[in-house]
Amino acid sequence: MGSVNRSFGCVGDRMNRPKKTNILLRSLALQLFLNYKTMQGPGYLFALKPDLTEPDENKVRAAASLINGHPVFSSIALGAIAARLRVPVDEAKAKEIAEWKRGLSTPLGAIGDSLIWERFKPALLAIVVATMIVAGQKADSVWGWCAFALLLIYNLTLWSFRSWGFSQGFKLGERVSELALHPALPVVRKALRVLGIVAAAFVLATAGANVLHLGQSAWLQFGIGFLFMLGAVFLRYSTLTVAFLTVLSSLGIAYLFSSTPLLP
Amino acid sequence: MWLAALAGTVVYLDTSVLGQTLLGQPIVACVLYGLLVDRPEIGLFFGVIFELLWLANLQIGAAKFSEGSIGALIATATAARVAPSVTSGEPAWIVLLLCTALGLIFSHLGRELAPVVRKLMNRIAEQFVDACARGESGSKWTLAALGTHVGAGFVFTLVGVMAGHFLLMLYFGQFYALGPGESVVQATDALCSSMWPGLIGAGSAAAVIQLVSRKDWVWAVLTGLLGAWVIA
Repeated sequence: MGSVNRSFGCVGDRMNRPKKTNILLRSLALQLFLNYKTMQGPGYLFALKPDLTEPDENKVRAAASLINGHPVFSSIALGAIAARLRVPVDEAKAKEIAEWKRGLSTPLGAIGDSLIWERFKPALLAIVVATMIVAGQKADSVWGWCAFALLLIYNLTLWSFRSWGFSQGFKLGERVSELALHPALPVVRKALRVLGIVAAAFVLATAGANVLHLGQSAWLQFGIGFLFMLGAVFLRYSTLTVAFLTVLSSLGIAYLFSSTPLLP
Repeated sequence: MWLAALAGTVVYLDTSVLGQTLLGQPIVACVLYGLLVDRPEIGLFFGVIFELLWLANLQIGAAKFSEGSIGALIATATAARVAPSVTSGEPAWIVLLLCTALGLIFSHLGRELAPVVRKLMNRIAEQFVDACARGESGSKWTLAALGTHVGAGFVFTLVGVMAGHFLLMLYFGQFYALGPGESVVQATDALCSSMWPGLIGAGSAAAVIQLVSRKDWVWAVLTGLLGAWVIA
């Protein structure tokens, strides 16, 4: 293992390097085979195929065994598995790798979901939506730039992370779970916390300003919608229920405030 | 209808299968579709509403999730088929209301799509692994997996858009594509437009719930309200 890890850092020894770009590109389809038995496992096999040059059933079974993590953070596990599959794997070793892989699911899922699904992605989307609301009539013309910036920032950031994660995973191999204690993690968490607050406040500000000029009934409808959604967190209502209750209440408020007869 | 189904397939693939690049998010996909059919304002409307409402809809692990992005696209595609009001030049609010309801229902129905596909994938994935273990490329099973996803996204969107077509036909008659009668628009616009503040309020709350820890809720809400006052 040691020689493999050293060779990855060595520029001259290209033969022992994993086909990183190829693997990372294929890892974009990590969820292609997502199923209830082995979750992303077969997706890992699909991604690692360029590195499994010789047919070896044990390596294939080890690569395809159960794992489920965040798709972006999975690049770390992919690097580590690629490193572990560089040495001969017998049946016992394949079982041990499968167990070790299963253990990686929790940190990969928990950290990845909390940073990317729960903060980074929705914060960027919320900022774009808020910009569209504040742009009002000019939204058509600014949308292109906003969408381009959104796709560029999100995908470049995540691709850079995938690349770094794969290299780190390959370097650490079996000890890859040590990355969960990386000193940068609390800093990133704090930065995303601030980004989340800014994005939410931006949405609230632009949406509030948008309905402010629509009059008293609009503010009431806005408030009802806001409270219904907040209440859904505690009452465990679905978004569908909240949306329909909001629409019905809004129509009711509009009817109460309206002086125009609805029927001829 | 076929274009919508094709767009829905792309949205489905990007949302949970390939890349997850955000191309399939309502605020991107709906406006792109709107531009394709020359109705960007419809795409923007549904993009904003559905993006906010489903901001807190996370696709975590094996959990079921609403197909908010496909729902948004179904709503956009259905509403874009109806001509704007002759008087105002804007989409009739009754159409937006009906299509919002349709999009919401299909988003929710979409919760059952992923479990069905994952169950089908149990066997396909097993066959793929077996093929690779035998030293084969497994490309046949890779295509089978891709085909299953493409089929799921395509059929689901097509059913949604067809349901929308019949819903609007029911309301406006078979010539609805020519635009609802002006009398219908005038009679219902004031009432139906009231859904906007309500839904945007619910969406703002979804942003707060998703992006802010409960201990920071007060600060985020106060900053937001202050910001609203400043912007207005």
